[in-house]
Order: sequence, then C-alpha cells, then structure tokens
Amino acid sequence: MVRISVEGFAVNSIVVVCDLVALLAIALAMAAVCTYRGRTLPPIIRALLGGLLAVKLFHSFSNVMEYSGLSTVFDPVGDYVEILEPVFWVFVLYAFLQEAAKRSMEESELRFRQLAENIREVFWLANADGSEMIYISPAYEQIWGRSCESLYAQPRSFMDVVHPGDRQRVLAGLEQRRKGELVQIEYRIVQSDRTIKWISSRVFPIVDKTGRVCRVAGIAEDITDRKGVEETLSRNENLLRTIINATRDAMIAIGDDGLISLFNPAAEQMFGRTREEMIGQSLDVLMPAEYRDRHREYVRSYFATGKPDGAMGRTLELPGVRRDGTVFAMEISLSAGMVYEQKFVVAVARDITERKKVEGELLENRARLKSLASELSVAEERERRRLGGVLHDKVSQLLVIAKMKLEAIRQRIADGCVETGLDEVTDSLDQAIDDARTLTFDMSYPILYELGFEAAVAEWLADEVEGKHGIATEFEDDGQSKPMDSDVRAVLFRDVRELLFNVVRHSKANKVKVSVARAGEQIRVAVEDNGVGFDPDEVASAFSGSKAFGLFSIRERLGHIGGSLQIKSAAGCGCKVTLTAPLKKES
Amino acid sequence: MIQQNEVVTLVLGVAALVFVRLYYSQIRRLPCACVVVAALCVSMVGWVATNVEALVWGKFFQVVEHLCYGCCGVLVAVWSWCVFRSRASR
Repeated sequence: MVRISVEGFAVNSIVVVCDLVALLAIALAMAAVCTYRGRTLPPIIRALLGGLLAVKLFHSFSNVMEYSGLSTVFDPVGDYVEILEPVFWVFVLYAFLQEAAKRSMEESELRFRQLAENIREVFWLANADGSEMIYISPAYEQIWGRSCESLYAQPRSFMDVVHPGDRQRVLAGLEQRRKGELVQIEYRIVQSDRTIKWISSRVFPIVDKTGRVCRVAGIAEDITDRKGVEETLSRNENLLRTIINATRDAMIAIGDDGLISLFNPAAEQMFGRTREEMIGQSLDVLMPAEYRDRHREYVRSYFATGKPDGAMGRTLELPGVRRDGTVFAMEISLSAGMVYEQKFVVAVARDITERKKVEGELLENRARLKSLASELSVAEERERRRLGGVLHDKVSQLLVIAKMKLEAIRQRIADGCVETGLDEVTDSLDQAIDDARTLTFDMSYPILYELGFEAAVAEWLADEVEGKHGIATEFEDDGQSKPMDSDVRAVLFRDVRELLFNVVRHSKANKVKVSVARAGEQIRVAVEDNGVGFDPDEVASAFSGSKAFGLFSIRERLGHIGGSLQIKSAAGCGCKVTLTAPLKKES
Repeated sequence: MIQQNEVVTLVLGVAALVFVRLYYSQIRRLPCACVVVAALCVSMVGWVATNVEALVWGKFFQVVEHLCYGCCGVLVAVWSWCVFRSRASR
C-alpha cells in the first residue's frame, strides 16, 4: 500500500534505495554466475546459487517497483517468491557442504596415494580375515619382484617367496593377525635370482565403532641393508667381546662421569671383584687410599679439558688392591677414546707380581754369583797358599835336608863311614814322597778313578773321618751298577767330601753314615749324622750371603750337572743331606 | 497487519538457521563462511522485522527490513565473488 505523506515519502525513499542496492549487487552476482566458465563449480551448485539470486533479484525488483509507485503488478508475486528464499538458502548451503565433503575425500585419497605410492615401504590394506586385498602399494613389486595384480588375485601369494626357514613364523604371524593382534615380525624372502632379502612387517588391526576388527593394515619394509649392518656390527661386537673376555690383561673403561663401564673377566680375576658389582662404581676401591685423590683429580682434569697429562699412552707401574685388601704390583697403560661425543678412558692392566718376584730372584742370584766368584778366587788363593806351604815347608825342606845329608856323605866317604848317612837320606826322601802323595790325593783322589766312586767314598770315610777325627762311620751300598760320567763322579765325590768336612767341623756328631743307592736313572747319596742339626730355612735364607757358601756351592754344582740337593734337619735332631745326580745312560 | 506469506517465510528462515547451526562446523570451512552466515542472519532479521512492523513501530521496522535486504544483497554478492575467486584459484 502506498502512503501519500512526507513521512511516508522519506520511508519509501530509504526502502527503494536499499532495494536498489540489493538489486544491483545481486544482479552483478547473477551476471557472475551466468558468465562463469570454470569447471570446478558443479552445475547443480551453479543452478541452486542462481535460483537463490533469482529469488532475491525478483523480490528486490518487486519491492522497488512497489515502493517507487511504478507498478503494483509484481507485488503479490514478489511476496510469495520471497517464501522460496530460505528454502534456497538451505539447498545452496547443503550443496556446498556436499561438494566440500566430496572434495575433501578426493584430496584425502590423493594425499594417501601420493604417500603410499612414493614411500619405499609396502603399504597394504586387507579385509579382516585377509582373504581379500583391498590395496597394495607399488613398492610391493619392487621388493617382492611380483606384480600387485598377483597379490590382488591371490592375497596369500606373498608367502610363495618366504624363506622356508621363516615360513612357520610368518604363518604364526598370520594367525595372530586373524585374531586381531598387533603383529611385528622379521623374515626373509628368496627372490627369483636366489638373492635373499630381509623384510620387517608390522600389521595393525583396524576396528570399527563397535570394536570389531573390520580391516587389517600393514607395512612391510626391506631391511636387508640394515640387517647387513647389524650383522657386521654384531660380528664385530662379538669379536671384540671375545677378545676382551679372552685377554689375560685386565681391561677397565671409565666414562666422563668417572664410573666404570667395562670390567672384563681378567679384571675380575685380578681384583677379586665381579663385573656386576663394579659396573657403575668408582675406581677408588681398586687402588690404595693414598692414590685415590690424585686419581680423581686426574680424571676430573682430563674429562674437563680433554688434555691428557704424561700418563696417557704410557705404561706405568702402579699398585692395585684386591678384594681381600692385598696390594699387588700392576703394569697399566691408558688410552682415551670417544663414542657418540662421550669421552672414555680404557686402562689395560697386568699383574706383574710374578715378574717382580722373578726380577728380585734374578737380582739375588746375580748377587750370589758375584759372591760365589769372590769366594772362588779366595778359595783358589787359599789353596795355592796351602800347596805353596806344603811344598815349601815339607817337600822342599826334606829335599834340602837330603841334599845337605848327601854333602855330608861325600865327606864321610873319605872317612869310610857312609852307611848311617845313606839311611837318613832315604828317610828324608820317603817323607818327601809321602807328603807329595798326600798333596796329590788332596788334589785328585786316584782311587776315585781306579776303583770307582763307592770305593773312594768308603776309603775316604774310613781314613779321613774315622781315622783322623774318631767319628764312627758307616757306609752302605745297594750293590747295583752306577755308571757315571767322570764329571758327575768328580762333582759328586767332591760334594760328599765337603759334606763330611761340614760334619767334622760343625755337627759335633759322633756317628756319620753314607749310603749310596741307585734310583732309576739317578744315583742318590745320603750323608746322615747324629749331630746338633740346623734349621734348613735359615740356611736357605743365608744362601744369599757367604755363611752357607758350601751348601750353596754344592747345590749350584749339582744343578749344573742336572742333579739336586735336599736337606732334612732340625735343631738337635741331626741332619740328612741327600744328593741326587744323573747316571750315565747304558747303551 | 500480519501477512501469511511473511509468517511462512519467517518459519522457513528459522528452519534454515537451525540447519546452519547443525552443520556449522562444516559450513565454517566453506570459503568466506562468515559472509554467508552473516547474509543469512541479516536476512533473518529482515524477515523478523517484516512481521514485527505489523505490530509495532511499522515504519521503523519497515526501514530495518529493507536495510537488511540491502545488506543481505551486498553480502550475497560478496560471497558469490569469494566463491568464484576461490574456485578460480584452484
């Protein structure tokens, strides 16, 4: 209805202006819809959008015509066309939503395909029981060397190339898959050219809203290269572990926290501590207390600055401490390394207790040999002096006397009284002959070479020990043949004689027994007395000095010819010394 | 005086708004969703005003109604332009 008033005119003017604006805007939009030539907007959307715009256009047009007073023809039509506007709104929005959903689905599928078809892993999707393959990515053809179509036709055909040794495991995995369990399995496949590939397969059940497994998805990856690297690493690790475990040197590694990260069996044996108790512990317990602070400071300084002091790369001699608290000498060499940006130090230690002991013994033996050499020169000088004394005091004197007496005989020949002088000369010469023989016997006992070792010992025992010193003697021989090299015989006789001298000088014995027996390929001579005896350990410790030089010399001489010396004695219980020497092998 | 067609339009408009509310999470992902929702809302205000003008403040609500139609027309044109532009850019 048109109102003829000023107020009504103003209202109508505003209304007309508004509707004209709407008319103009919608007309432009309509023109855009009609002239759009793109293919991305589906025709149904264009039609619905066009319909909405047409309704609005007609409604605005009828309003303009009505309120401007140009015509009322369109008014009732416009009013009823207006009813269609909300309906078109719903249709237009619904159509857009459908289109958006469709596009979203297409984009999602596109992304999935781009992903599945470009990754190196095989991605697959099957129904719940695995009887139908829904999707398999093209990487299957590359890895398995078989077509995707063959798998679509026979979903289990991938099993044909599975290595016979792994088939049971794969079948067990398929059974797990059927139960809807997560499966992760590694197996081998054999390709047509007989090359073997390692496959890592993971299978995931896909459940619907009710929790029922509706599909199964999986990813299979070619891990041949990784397996190769793993095997090489494992082999190297086993080799390294074998070396570390087999080495007789203790190997201990510490990290930059100063705690032990490696403790091999040799270290366990050396320190008397187990690997389990030492891993993660400090090195403190393995060294004497006075070394600990210095060691801590060294470790802290090295790991802080990375600069080793003189110890790194060198071999040091340090003391170690066993579980029972005993301290022992060890030779240790340090080296540094780095694993994954983490520094570590490895110490290789060797127990040198035995070596130190042997070194000590060597030094002791050297000193003893020096002493022996000195004693030998003294003994030689003494023997020379004795021989000189005997020759000068006895033989020379007797010869001088004999000469003087012969001069006197020359005088007496003139007087005709020769008989008495010749007797005196004869006595002097006899005495000289006796002295010379005694001297000869002292230097080399002729019976030893003429009648043998047993006879020489028996005679010397009777003459020298019993005859000269009044000690009761007993000689015992088993009567068996005892062939000896002349050197062995001389050494053995000399040693028996020296032992008997010792009995005479030191034992205060009143009885001595010498027994000679054959023991296999050896001769065993025992010199036994009932004297005061002595402590063999004390004598052994005195071997290093000159106190027990005689026994030491006997032991050394016997050792040289392959024999040995055994002393059995105690204070107040006499003494038994057994000499053993090798016999000459009878051909 | 309340007219039958205006009441029907209002009822259908409310139904359209209910539809928008129900699918708002998806509608908001449409290109220039705020423009189209604003256009519908402005249009709804116009439909309400055309019914109210028969009861009170007839001239005022009449002006409001047609102002809303004008705004709605502009917003719809803008939205259409947005839709075509976004399609063209794909």
